[in-house]
Amino acid sequence: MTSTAMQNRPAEHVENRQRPTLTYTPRFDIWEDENAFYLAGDMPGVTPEQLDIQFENQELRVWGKVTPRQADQEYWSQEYGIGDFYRSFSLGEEIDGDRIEAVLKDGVLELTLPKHPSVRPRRIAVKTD
Amino acid sequence: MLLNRLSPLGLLDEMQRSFSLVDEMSREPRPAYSRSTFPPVNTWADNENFYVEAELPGFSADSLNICVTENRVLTIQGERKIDEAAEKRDWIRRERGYGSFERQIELPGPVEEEQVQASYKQGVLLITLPKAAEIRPRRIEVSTA
Repeated sequence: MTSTAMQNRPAEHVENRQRPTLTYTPRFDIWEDENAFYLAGDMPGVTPEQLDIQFENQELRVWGKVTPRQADQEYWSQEYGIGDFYRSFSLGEEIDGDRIEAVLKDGVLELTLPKHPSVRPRRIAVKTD
Repeated sequence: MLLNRLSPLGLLDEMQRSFSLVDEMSREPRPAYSRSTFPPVNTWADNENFYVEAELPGFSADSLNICVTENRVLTIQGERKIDEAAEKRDWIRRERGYGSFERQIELPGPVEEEQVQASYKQGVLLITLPKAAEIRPRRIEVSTA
């Protein structure tokens, strides 16, 4: 398993004017349990080195840079375009940013966003006299 | 419905548009083999080979079946599974499809079936189909007599 370290960046808005490519919105599944939020997104053609994940002010930004393939190619048939993937998610107050984990396999990015322990339901013991 | 990208037009519209987009973008008449439009493929060629590429993130390489029949028809099959425990998850948003697909593509010319190769990296499937000898451009020697 590979994990992508959190990038240490100043708070600049990630804009794709830096790269002359089209940008697509990847599809994501999102679910949760009591410990964490889980995200799984389709980002084919992205390698771990090209993945840029930032979490700041409870906003998660995912930017997968795709090396252009077939850039000068003359297609016989073209049904999809190739470009970067970008998506941002606004999350509640509950995420522990230091413990976010990311795994990229076969073009699928899986993120685990642990909730702050203080937010998790706490069981209260009941004393009996 | 298996799709890779989120359409800006909205999820209700994209079902209708996905069928017409394929016809608009392709320059050759589509064969009548199958009405399937998943996965979208890009195809191109050079002197040696035809190339067919599809984005199939999360499909295990074992589940992908690729075969060529009659030297001209490429069939791609595969399945993306989700385990049953996942069905009971506390879902917040579900945008990625699961299931199996089959798509047949008629190639622009005959290929050497035995030499077809396929690679699957970062969720991208690339199939390289060497052109049959009779359709490869042949260099004609110019004699200087």
